[in-house]
Amino acid sequence: MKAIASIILAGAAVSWAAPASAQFAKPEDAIKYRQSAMFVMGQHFGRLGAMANGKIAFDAKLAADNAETVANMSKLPWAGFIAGTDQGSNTKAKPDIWTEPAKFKENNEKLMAETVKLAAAARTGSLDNLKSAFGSTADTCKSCHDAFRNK
Amino acid sequence: MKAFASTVLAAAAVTLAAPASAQFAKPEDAIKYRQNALFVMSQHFGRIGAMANGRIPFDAKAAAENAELVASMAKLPWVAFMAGTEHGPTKAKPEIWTEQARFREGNEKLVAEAAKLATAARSGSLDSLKTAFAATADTCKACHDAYRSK
Repeated sequence: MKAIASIILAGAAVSWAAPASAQFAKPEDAIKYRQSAMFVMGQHFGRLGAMANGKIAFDAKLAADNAETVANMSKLPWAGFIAGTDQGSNTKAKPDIWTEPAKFKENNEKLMAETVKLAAAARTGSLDNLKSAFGSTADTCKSCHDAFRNK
Repeated sequence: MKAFASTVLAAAAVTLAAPASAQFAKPEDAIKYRQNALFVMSQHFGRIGAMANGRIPFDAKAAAENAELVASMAKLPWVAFMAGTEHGPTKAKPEIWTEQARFREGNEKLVAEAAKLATAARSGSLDSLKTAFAATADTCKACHDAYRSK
């Protein structure tokens, strides 16, 4: 937790930059990169869900730390969805990502916007605010997964 | 004496595990989390290396963005090296859990070096970036040599 708290302090001064252009040595690296970033984000998001759903006790500081990390991580995966990475490894990415790039990008941006709201909600220290923002962020995850990720 | 040492080790492990075990549903998730965080960090670090070694042209803005991400990601993996995650699909050596203080020191050194790397990258100087890249890479290597199986 100390490490994550440090990130928040750093994040307050300089928010994470989204990489301008991703350079991957091979397609497998791009696939692994986006999956890894998603998994890290998912772990932090899951902790917020556990609080929102009452599975663990609400801890305002823990919630704020995790939400900030979610907001930062949500900027990363998209650079890994480059041309030539629609197949291979164990990707669940649907071809629609590459045939409907505008819609996919819109979804990416919606998640980034929702997670910024989530972080702001978590910082208020209100469990009700967290629940509400968690719900709308989770909906954003789901609608994009339904459209662009195979089961 | 031996019993005492074991107690100290166990206590150290518990101290480390307390926050982390509450965060991961199962040991496999902790292992995957630290591996994934390290992989994301390495991809951004690799781009800086490509510039430092002249494989791709130096781009000050890209260097600064990647270094900032390395500095941020450098803080994440360590919480997941908790007790009960020594085995499974991991290259982590047992020494991580028997030399806790030294392992933590290695973690903190990387966080510090990565912060310097970000500062160097923001300076816009390729020479500064090269120096900081090398120092950070040495830190990666020292810890991998000590705590990661080949």
